[in-house]
Amino acid sequence: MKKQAEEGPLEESTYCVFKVGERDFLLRVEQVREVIDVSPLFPVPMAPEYIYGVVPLRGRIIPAIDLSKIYPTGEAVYNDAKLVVVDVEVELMREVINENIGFISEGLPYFVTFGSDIPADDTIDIKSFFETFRVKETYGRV
Amino acid sequence: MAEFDRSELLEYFLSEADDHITTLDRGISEIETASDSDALIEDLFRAAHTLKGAAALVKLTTTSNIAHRMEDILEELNEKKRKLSKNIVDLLLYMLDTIKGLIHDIAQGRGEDHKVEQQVFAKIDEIMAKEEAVVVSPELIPQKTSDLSVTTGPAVPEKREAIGRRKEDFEFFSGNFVKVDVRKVEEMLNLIGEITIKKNYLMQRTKETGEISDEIFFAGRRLLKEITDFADRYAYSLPDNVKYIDPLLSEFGELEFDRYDELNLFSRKLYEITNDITEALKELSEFFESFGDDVKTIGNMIKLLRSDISEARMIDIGRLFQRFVRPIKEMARQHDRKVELLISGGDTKIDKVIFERLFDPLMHIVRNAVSHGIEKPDERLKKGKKEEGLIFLSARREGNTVVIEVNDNGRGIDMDRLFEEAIKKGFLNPDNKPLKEDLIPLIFVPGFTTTESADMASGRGIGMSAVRRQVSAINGVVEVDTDVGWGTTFRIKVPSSLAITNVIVFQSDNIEFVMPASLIEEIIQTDITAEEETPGMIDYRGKDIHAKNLSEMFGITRKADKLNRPVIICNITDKKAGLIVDEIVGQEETIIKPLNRFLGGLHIYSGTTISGDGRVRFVLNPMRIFEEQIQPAAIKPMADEGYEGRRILIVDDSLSVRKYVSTFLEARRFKVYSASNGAEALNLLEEIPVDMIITDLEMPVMHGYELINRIKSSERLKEIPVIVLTSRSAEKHREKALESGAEDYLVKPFDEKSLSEILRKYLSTADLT
Repeated sequence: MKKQAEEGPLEESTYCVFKVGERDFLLRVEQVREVIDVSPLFPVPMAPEYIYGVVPLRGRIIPAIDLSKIYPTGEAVYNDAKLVVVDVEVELMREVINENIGFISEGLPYFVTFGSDIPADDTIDIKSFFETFRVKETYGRV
Repeated sequence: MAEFDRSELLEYFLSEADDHITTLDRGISEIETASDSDALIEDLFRAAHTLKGAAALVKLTTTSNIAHRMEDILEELNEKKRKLSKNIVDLLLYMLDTIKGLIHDIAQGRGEDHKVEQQVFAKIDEIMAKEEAVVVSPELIPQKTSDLSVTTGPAVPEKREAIGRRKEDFEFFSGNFVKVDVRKVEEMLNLIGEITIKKNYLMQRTKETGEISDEIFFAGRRLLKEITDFADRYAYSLPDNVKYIDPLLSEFGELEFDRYDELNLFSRKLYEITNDITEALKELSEFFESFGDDVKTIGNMIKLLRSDISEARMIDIGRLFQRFVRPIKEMARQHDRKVELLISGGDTKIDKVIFERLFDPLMHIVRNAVSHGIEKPDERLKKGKKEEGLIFLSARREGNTVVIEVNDNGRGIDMDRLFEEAIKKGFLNPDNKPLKEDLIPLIFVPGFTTTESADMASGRGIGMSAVRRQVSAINGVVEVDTDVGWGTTFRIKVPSSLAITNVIVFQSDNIEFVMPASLIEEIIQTDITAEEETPGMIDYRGKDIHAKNLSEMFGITRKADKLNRPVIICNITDKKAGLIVDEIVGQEETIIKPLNRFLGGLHIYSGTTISGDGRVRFVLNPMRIFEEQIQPAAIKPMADEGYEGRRILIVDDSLSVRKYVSTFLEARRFKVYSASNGAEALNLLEEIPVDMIITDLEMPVMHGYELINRIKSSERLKEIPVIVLTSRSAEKHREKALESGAEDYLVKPFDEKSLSEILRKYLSTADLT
């Protein structure tokens, strides 16, 4: 291993990598709370298509998000799926709240570490993801 | 019972008094040195004022009177009518000491010493008289007042000595109270909720295990029977006496006997083992029986604990009512009304969370009662009413529901004016006057108001719709009774506690849902074939009410199998509506948790619960399900503006523009969606097909031109008419917008007529295609 002779140690980041269809998505490891089974899964009638369902986790209810319905990933096979549960801190109505959401992953996700000089493409920015895809007030009024 | 209530009230007073006395104690000592003495005096004034009121409430007149005098002095100081001096500070301390002494006596179970009042008043008069003289030459104060104890005579110091003003002296009357953060209580309740769920799970598992043990028990019995039969058969085929008859046979017999013995032994062994197993199983099932009982006992204990803890969070609603006393007085003065306030049922207990969230809606109703309900005194006299209008706040408990009423004996809501207004606003057709109960819900419609000169504080329109929203957020309902000329009653029904809610569990398409029992009028079985006559209506007690089939809402339509299905009759603001479901599962007490924020926009749900066996159930919000029906939509729209169900998307970064246009469009029965910029609009368009888009040009993230370009270049979206609504009036903007594909261009501030025309123009053509 070459020591970073150039300019000090490179900062390294660890990512949780999970697969959906033909794509790999990355999450900063600090944001990943845990990885659980996608069962029992309960349907959410009237929710947008990308809400695969909800999974109870110790009294909390985690929406399971199907990224294949949001991004062009190709067909996803969720036979052996896991749910990557993440912590989100978002500001809603001037109030900072902590919430959990989960991404469905085909199989068990894995972790990689690399220096910050390598651009981590396909990293999900949780905060803006939450903002963009949370079910809005205007959605599906009955 | 009455005795008990009073002593309980007294305890509350003592605990509260402790706070005020601490404030006063600390404040008075600092008053001379404080940098911001004005603010401090104001705090002290407030403390004395509240103490006075609280003492009066528990009929401690002496304490109240002294606190009153204290309040007066502080008020004078506050208004600079009197200068602060050592004398006054000492006087205040002396008064405080007296109050402490009085409260000490009360805490000890003795009554107030009424004689004290005279002494104190005499002292006040004496010192204040001196003070007045002193005020003229303030320089003299410090020297002169340095030894108050001497100038005020020996009675005071003695009294002080006797009462004492050391900290430990007033700790006693805080009684048995500990202050706990409400959030802590909340946490405890949450934990209990989790325990309840675990307990239910345990209960279920016990039952299952019991069933398994029963099965083993029966299997054992079968085995036992088989073995016994087998052994019997064997014993029969080899009678005991065989060997003695024939010696030759007996030779074989020896061998046979060996085998017999072995078999016999084996079967015996099996028999014994099976017996042992059966015995053990019997014990096991006994254990499960008692275990089940124990779990039940634990369940009961949890229930008690839960109600105790939630009780700890309960507050007398009277404290909420008390908060309206001053605002009502002030408002009455502002509006030249004479108003008397009556309060009853103040000791009704209500959850702290609900207590807090009732203030705004109640304030609104009360404000309306004063400014719109109660007439001016001369008007009242003319009508032969008492000059003084009456506002009556009352609360009572009905099961797990608390009913709060705000009643005024004012002019009532004029149905004719309501109707006129509805016609003017385009909600109703003038030829068809609906019944009173169909008109009243109009006051809850956003943007609807009958007060022409709606003042800022109490225009009915937006306000009442907010009231309904706020009340429904705590699973409550608002009802209105009104009699023209006689007054109006607003009735708010809320659950007494939010933490634990009694819910009805039901299912549709094998998905379980719950609804708070407080929102349910009753559950009926109905023959849905009757429904076919008027779609969306069912017969309920001889009246047609709106009904929806939950499965159909979810887009699942099934054929003829929907005969005789349960219908949940929901209470929604003065109206009833029926929700048709597949099956009623049962009723239970559960904890409703707020919806995960990611799903926050799914308004048909107001929260989630987790069942005993860990299943997630969504809490349905009937208010939102029947939103269209409780809006004036229930009444036929005017013919020329029948845009029922048409969808419009408004894109504008200004909330007020969005609101304004929405109100305008919603009144014309459009379904309105809004987005604050182009990107958000595109996201929305992914999900929702709309009939028209109205967009601003300048917006953050994605501006209007870009949005128009994207829409017009999308195969799916390009047919949707896009109307630009902007403050840019220059021709070049107009050209650019029309070039990018916009259908029309409106300049802000737009007049309603031109928007109406545009709607007609583009939506009727869209209709033809």
